[in-house]
Amino acid sequence: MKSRGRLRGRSMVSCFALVWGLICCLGTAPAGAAEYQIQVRTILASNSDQGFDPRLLDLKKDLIALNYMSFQLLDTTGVTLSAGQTGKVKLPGGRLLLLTPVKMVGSKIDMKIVIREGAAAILTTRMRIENHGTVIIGGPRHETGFLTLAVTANF
Amino acid sequence: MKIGKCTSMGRWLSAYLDGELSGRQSARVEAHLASCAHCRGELVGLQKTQALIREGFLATAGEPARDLEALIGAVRKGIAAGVGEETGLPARTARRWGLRALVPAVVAAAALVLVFRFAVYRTPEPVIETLVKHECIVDSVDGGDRTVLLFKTHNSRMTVIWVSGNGERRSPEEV
Repeated sequence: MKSRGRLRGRSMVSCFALVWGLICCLGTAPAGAAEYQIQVRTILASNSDQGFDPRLLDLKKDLIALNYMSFQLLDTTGVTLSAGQTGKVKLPGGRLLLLTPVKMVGSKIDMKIVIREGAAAILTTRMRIENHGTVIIGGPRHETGFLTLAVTANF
Repeated sequence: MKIGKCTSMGRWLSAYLDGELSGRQSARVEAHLASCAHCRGELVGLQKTQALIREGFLATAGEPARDLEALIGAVRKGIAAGVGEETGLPARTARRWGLRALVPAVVAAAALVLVFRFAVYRTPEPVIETLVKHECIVDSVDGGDRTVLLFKTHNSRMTVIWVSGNGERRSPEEV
Protein backbone atom coordinates (compact mmCIF):
# COMPACT_ATOMS: atom_id res chain seq x y z
CA MET A 1 0.00 0.00 0.00
CA LYS A 2 2.78 2.33 0.96
CA SER A 3 4.69 1.75 -2.28
CA ARG A 4 1.50 2.23 -4.31
CA GLY A 5 0.87 5.52 -2.59
CA ARG A 6 4.46 6.60 -3.19
CA LEU A 7 4.16 5.59 -6.85
CA ARG A 8 0.97 7.59 -7.18
CA GLY A 9 2.66 10.55 -5.55
CA ARG A 10 5.57 10.32 -7.97
CA SER A 11 3.28 10.07 -10.97
CA MET A 12 1.41 13.11 -9.74
CA VAL A 13 4.67 15.05 -9.43
CA SER A 14 5.73 13.91 -12.92
CA CYS A 15 2.36 14.93 -14.33
CA PHE A 16 2.60 18.30 -12.68
CA ALA A 17 6.19 18.81 -13.92
CA LEU A 18 5.16 17.86 -17.47
CA VAL A 19 2.22 20.24 -17.52
CA TRP A 20 4.30 23.01 -15.95
CA GLY A 21 7.09 22.50 -18.47
CA LEU A 22 4.56 22.68 -21.29
CA ILE A 23 3.11 25.89 -19.92
CA CYS A 24 6.58 27.41 -19.52
CA CYS A 25 7.61 26.47 -23.06
CA LEU A 26 4.44 27.81 -24.63
CA GLY A 27 4.42 30.86 -22.45
CA THR A 28 7.97 32.02 -23.10
CA ALA A 29 8.47 31.12 -26.74
CA PRO A 30 6.98 33.87 -28.84
CA ALA A 31 5.16 32.71 -31.93
CA GLY A 32 7.49 32.59 -34.92
CA ALA A 33 10.56 33.44 -32.82
CA ALA A 34 12.90 31.92 -35.38
CA GLU A 35 11.52 33.95 -38.28
CA TYR A 36 12.19 37.54 -39.14
CA GLN A 37 10.08 39.52 -41.53
CA ILE A 38 12.09 42.14 -43.34
CA GLN A 39 10.30 44.77 -45.36
CA VAL A 40 12.25 46.73 -47.93
CA ARG A 41 10.77 49.85 -49.44
CA THR A 42 12.66 51.10 -52.46
CA ILE A 43 12.35 54.86 -52.79
CA LEU A 44 13.61 57.28 -55.37
CA ALA A 45 14.81 60.49 -53.79
CA SER A 46 15.19 63.34 -56.25
CA ASN A 47 14.71 67.02 -56.75
CA SER A 48 11.94 66.59 -59.28
CA ASP A 49 8.53 68.20 -58.81
CA GLN A 50 6.69 64.93 -58.11
CA GLY A 51 6.43 65.73 -54.47
CA PHE A 52 6.06 63.33 -51.60
CA ASP A 53 4.51 59.92 -52.20
CA PRO A 54 1.59 59.56 -49.75
CA ARG A 55 2.46 55.88 -49.23
CA LEU A 56 5.59 57.02 -47.45
CA LEU A 57 3.88 59.26 -44.94
CA ASP A 58 5.11 57.25 -41.97
CA LEU A 59 8.67 58.03 -43.07
CA LYS A 60 8.07 61.64 -44.03
CA LYS A 61 9.74 63.29 -41.08
CA ASP A 62 12.82 61.13 -41.57
CA LEU A 63 13.04 61.33 -45.35
CA ILE A 64 12.73 65.11 -45.51
CA ALA A 65 15.89 65.24 -43.42
CA LEU A 66 17.70 64.00 -46.53
CA ASN A 67 17.14 67.38 -48.24
CA TYR A 68 15.50 66.13 -51.40
CA MET A 69 12.31 67.62 -52.80
CA SER A 70 10.66 64.45 -54.04
CA PHE A 71 10.31 60.96 -52.63
CA GLN A 72 8.56 58.31 -54.72
CA LEU A 73 7.98 54.72 -53.68
CA LEU A 74 9.23 52.43 -56.44
CA ASP A 75 8.66 49.05 -54.87
CA THR A 76 7.88 47.26 -51.63
CA THR A 77 9.25 43.80 -50.97
CA GLY A 78 8.86 41.60 -47.93
CA VAL A 79 11.04 38.63 -47.12
CA THR A 80 10.66 36.17 -44.26
CA LEU A 81 13.96 34.76 -43.15
CA SER A 82 15.25 32.54 -40.40
CA ALA A 83 18.57 33.12 -38.67
CA GLY A 84 21.49 32.57 -41.01
CA GLN A 85 19.30 32.60 -44.11
CA THR A 86 20.01 35.22 -46.78
CA GLY A 87 17.21 36.96 -48.60
CA LYS A 88 17.71 38.68 -51.92
CA VAL A 89 15.83 41.75 -53.06
CA LYS A 90 16.30 43.05 -56.57
CA LEU A 91 16.93 46.75 -56.80
CA PRO A 92 16.69 49.06 -59.81
CA GLY A 93 19.79 49.33 -61.96
CA GLY A 94 20.68 45.64 -61.67
CA ARG A 95 21.60 46.02 -58.05
CA LEU A 96 20.93 43.41 -55.44
CA LEU A 97 20.22 43.75 -51.76
CA LEU A 98 21.25 40.82 -49.56
CA LEU A 99 19.76 40.57 -46.08
CA THR A 100 20.94 38.03 -43.52
CA PRO A 101 19.52 37.99 -40.01
CA VAL A 102 22.32 36.51 -37.94
CA LYS A 103 21.04 36.14 -34.40
CA MET A 104 19.08 37.86 -31.67
CA VAL A 105 21.12 40.12 -29.42
CA GLY A 106 18.91 41.04 -26.49
CA SER A 107 15.77 42.50 -28.01
CA LYS A 108 17.44 43.33 -31.32
CA ILE A 109 18.13 41.32 -34.42
CA ASP A 110 21.74 41.34 -35.52
CA MET A 111 21.59 41.66 -39.29
CA LYS A 112 24.05 41.78 -42.15
CA ILE A 113 23.09 43.91 -45.14
CA VAL A 114 24.97 43.97 -48.43
CA ILE A 115 24.22 45.97 -51.57
CA ARG A 116 25.82 44.56 -54.66
CA GLU A 117 26.32 46.38 -57.92
CA GLY A 118 27.37 43.76 -60.40
CA ALA A 119 30.10 41.74 -58.77
CA ALA A 120 31.15 44.46 -56.38
CA ALA A 121 29.69 45.09 -52.98
CA ILE A 122 29.11 48.82 -52.69
CA LEU A 123 28.00 48.52 -49.08
CA THR A 124 28.48 45.89 -46.41
CA THR A 125 27.10 46.69 -43.01
CA ARG A 126 26.27 44.88 -39.82
CA MET A 127 23.66 46.32 -37.50
CA ARG A 128 21.27 45.53 -34.71
CA ILE A 129 17.66 46.57 -35.24
CA GLU A 130 14.87 46.68 -32.68
CA ASN A 131 11.59 44.99 -33.47
CA HIS A 132 9.66 47.25 -35.89
CA GLY A 133 12.83 49.29 -36.26
CA THR A 134 13.70 50.92 -39.56
CA VAL A 135 17.01 51.92 -41.04
CA ILE A 136 17.42 54.07 -44.14
CA ILE A 137 20.10 53.11 -46.60
CA GLY A 138 20.66 55.21 -49.66
CA GLY A 139 23.01 56.76 -52.09
CA PRO A 140 23.30 54.77 -55.34
CA ARG A 141 22.32 56.87 -58.33
CA HIS A 142 19.23 55.93 -60.27
CA GLU A 143 17.72 57.87 -63.16
CA THR A 144 17.38 61.46 -61.99
CA GLY A 145 17.81 60.76 -58.32
CA PHE A 146 19.18 58.45 -55.71
CA LEU A 147 17.98 55.08 -54.53
CA THR A 148 16.90 55.07 -50.91
CA LEU A 149 15.92 51.91 -49.05
CA ALA A 150 13.85 51.81 -45.90
CA VAL A 151 14.56 48.45 -44.28
CA THR A 152 12.17 47.50 -41.47
CA ALA A 153 12.56 44.41 -39.31
CA ASN A 154 9.57 42.71 -37.72
CA PHE A 155 9.94 39.65 -35.53
CA MET B 1 11.40 54.26 31.54
CA LYS B 2 9.59 57.37 32.55
CA ILE B 3 6.76 56.77 34.90
CA GLY B 4 4.98 59.53 36.62
CA LYS B 5 2.13 60.49 34.40
CA CYS B 6 -1.03 58.51 34.90
CA THR B 7 -1.83 58.70 31.17
CA SER B 8 1.18 56.53 30.35
CA MET B 9 0.69 54.09 33.18
CA GLY B 10 -1.80 51.75 31.50
CA ARG B 11 0.73 49.64 29.60
CA TRP B 12 3.11 49.62 32.55
CA LEU B 13 0.40 48.37 34.89
CA SER B 14 -0.48 45.56 32.54
CA ALA B 15 3.18 44.56 32.19
CA TYR B 16 3.57 44.86 35.95
CA LEU B 17 0.72 42.45 36.51
CA ASP B 18 2.14 39.99 34.00
CA GLY B 19 5.53 40.11 35.73
CA GLU B 20 7.23 41.38 32.59
CA LEU B 21 8.98 44.35 34.20
CA SER B 22 12.50 44.36 35.57
CA GLY B 23 13.05 44.84 39.28
CA ARG B 24 13.88 48.50 38.81
CA GLN B 25 10.82 49.12 36.64
CA SER B 26 8.57 47.29 39.08
CA ALA B 27 9.94 49.42 41.91
CA ARG B 28 9.10 52.57 39.98
CA VAL B 29 5.59 51.36 39.26
CA GLU B 30 5.10 50.50 42.90
CA ALA B 31 6.41 53.91 43.96
CA HIS B 32 3.92 55.56 41.63
CA LEU B 33 1.10 53.37 42.85
CA ALA B 34 1.90 54.35 46.42
CA SER B 35 1.26 57.98 45.60
CA CYS B 36 -1.59 57.64 43.06
CA ALA B 37 -5.03 56.46 44.08
CA HIS B 38 -6.25 56.59 40.49
CA CYS B 39 -3.63 54.12 39.26
CA ARG B 40 -4.23 51.86 42.23
CA GLY B 41 -7.85 51.72 41.15
CA GLU B 42 -6.73 50.95 37.59
CA LEU B 43 -4.54 48.14 38.88
CA VAL B 44 -7.39 46.60 40.83
CA GLY B 45 -9.60 46.80 37.76
CA LEU B 46 -6.95 45.08 35.67
CA GLN B 47 -6.52 42.35 38.25
CA LYS B 48 -10.26 41.72 38.28
CA THR B 49 -10.39 41.58 34.50
CA GLN B 50 -7.53 39.11 34.35
CA ALA B 51 -9.12 36.97 37.02
CA LEU B 52 -12.41 36.90 35.11
CA ILE B 53 -10.68 35.93 31.87
CA ARG B 54 -8.74 33.16 33.62
CA GLU B 55 -11.86 31.81 35.29
CA GLY B 56 -13.79 31.85 32.07
CA PHE B 57 -11.04 30.05 30.20
CA LEU B 58 -10.65 27.39 32.84
CA ALA B 59 -14.39 26.83 32.96
CA THR B 60 -14.40 26.26 29.21
CA ALA B 61 -11.32 24.04 29.12
CA GLY B 62 -12.22 22.11 32.27
CA GLU B 63 -8.56 21.83 33.13
CA PRO B 64 -6.57 23.38 35.94
CA ALA B 65 -4.17 26.15 34.94
CA ARG B 66 -1.08 24.08 35.56
CA ASP B 67 -2.24 21.63 32.87
CA LEU B 68 -2.58 24.36 30.25
CA GLU B 69 0.50 23.28 28.35
CA ALA B 70 -0.64 19.71 28.46
CA LEU B 71 -4.02 20.78 27.10
CA ILE B 72 -2.41 22.64 24.17
CA GLY B 73 -0.23 19.63 23.44
CA ALA B 74 -3.24 17.32 23.52
CA VAL B 75 -5.14 19.55 21.11
CA ARG B 76 -2.18 19.61 18.74
CA LYS B 77 -1.88 15.82 18.88
CA GLY B 78 -5.57 15.49 18.23
CA ILE B 79 -5.34 17.68 15.14
CA ALA B 80 -2.35 15.74 13.82
CA ALA B 81 -3.84 12.31 14.50
CA GLY B 82 -7.43 12.94 13.60
CA VAL B 83 -7.11 14.16 10.01
CA GLY B 84 -9.49 11.58 8.64
CA GLU B 85 -11.71 11.20 11.64
CA GLU B 86 -14.18 13.84 10.59
CA THR B 87 -14.89 11.98 7.38
CA GLY B 88 -14.89 8.64 9.18
CA LEU B 89 -11.77 7.51 7.27
CA PRO B 90 -8.34 6.59 8.59
CA ALA B 91 -5.76 9.38 8.27
CA ARG B 92 -3.77 7.59 5.55
CA THR B 93 -6.87 7.04 3.43
CA ALA B 94 -7.79 10.67 3.84
CA ARG B 95 -4.34 11.73 2.66
CA ARG B 96 -4.66 9.44 -0.33
CA TRP B 97 -8.03 10.95 -1.18
CA GLY B 98 -6.35 14.33 -0.90
CA LEU B 99 -3.73 13.30 -3.48
CA ARG B 100 -6.39 11.85 -5.76
CA ALA B 101 -8.27 15.07 -5.64
CA LEU B 102 -5.08 17.08 -6.21
CA VAL B 103 -4.13 15.45 -9.56
CA PRO B 104 -7.27 16.47 -11.45
CA ALA B 105 -7.15 19.82 -9.72
CA VAL B 106 -3.61 20.43 -11.02
CA VAL B 107 -4.54 19.23 -14.51
CA ALA B 108 -7.64 21.41 -14.50
CA ALA B 109 -5.61 24.41 -13.37
CA ALA B 110 -3.03 23.79 -16.08
CA ALA B 111 -5.76 23.46 -18.71
CA LEU B 112 -7.28 26.69 -17.47
CA VAL B 113 -3.91 28.45 -17.77
CA LEU B 114 -3.47 27.13 -21.32
CA VAL B 115 -6.97 28.25 -22.32
CA PHE B 116 -6.27 31.66 -20.83
CA ARG B 117 -2.90 31.82 -22.58
CA PHE B 118 -4.26 31.07 -26.07
CA ALA B 119 -7.94 31.97 -26.05
CA VAL B 120 -8.18 34.95 -23.75
CA TYR B 121 -4.75 36.54 -23.37
CA ARG B 122 -3.21 38.10 -26.42
CA THR B 123 0.27 39.56 -26.32
CA PRO B 124 -0.33 43.26 -26.79
CA GLU B 125 0.93 44.69 -30.04
CA PRO B 126 3.78 47.09 -29.47
CA VAL B 127 2.99 50.72 -29.97
CA ILE B 128 4.74 51.57 -33.18
CA GLU B 129 4.96 55.29 -32.72
CA THR B 130 7.67 55.25 -30.11
CA LEU B 131 11.32 56.16 -30.17
CA VAL B 132 12.13 52.47 -29.90
CA LYS B 133 10.76 52.05 -33.42
CA HIS B 134 13.90 53.51 -34.88
CA GLU B 135 16.33 52.00 -32.49
CA CYS B 136 19.23 50.74 -34.55
CA ILE B 137 22.87 50.20 -33.71
CA VAL B 138 25.32 50.02 -36.59
CA ASP B 139 28.24 47.80 -35.69
CA SER B 140 30.22 48.05 -38.91
CA VAL B 141 30.04 49.73 -42.30
CA ASP B 142 32.21 49.04 -45.33
CA GLY B 143 31.60 51.01 -48.49
CA GLY B 144 34.64 49.80 -50.38
CA ASP B 145 35.98 52.74 -52.38
CA ARG B 146 32.85 54.80 -51.76
CA THR B 147 32.21 57.34 -49.10
CA VAL B 148 29.73 56.26 -46.46
CA LEU B 149 27.88 58.74 -44.29
CA LEU B 150 26.29 57.50 -41.11
CA PHE B 151 23.92 59.77 -39.23
CA LYS B 152 20.60 60.01 -37.47
CA THR B 153 17.68 62.16 -38.58
CA HIS B 154 16.90 65.16 -36.38
CA ASN B 155 13.26 64.36 -35.76
CA SER B 156 12.95 60.75 -34.76
CA ARG B 157 16.59 59.77 -34.67
CA MET B 158 16.30 57.23 -37.45
CA THR B 159 19.61 55.79 -38.56
CA VAL B 160 20.67 56.64 -42.11
CA ILE B 161 23.52 55.03 -44.02
CA TRP B 162 24.29 57.00 -47.13
CA VAL B 163 26.66 55.72 -49.78
CA SER B 164 28.04 58.23 -52.22
CA GLY B 165 27.67 56.50 -55.55
CA ASN B 166 30.04 56.46 -58.56
CA GLY B 167 32.78 58.25 -56.70
CA GLU B 168 30.89 61.52 -56.80
CA ARG B 169 31.15 62.01 -53.05
CA ARG B 170 27.76 63.70 -52.88
CA SER B 171 25.95 63.68 -49.63
CA PRO B 172 22.31 64.67 -49.08
CA GLU B 173 23.46 68.01 -47.68
CA GLU B 174 25.34 68.78 -50.88
CA VAL B 175 22.33 68.23 -53.13
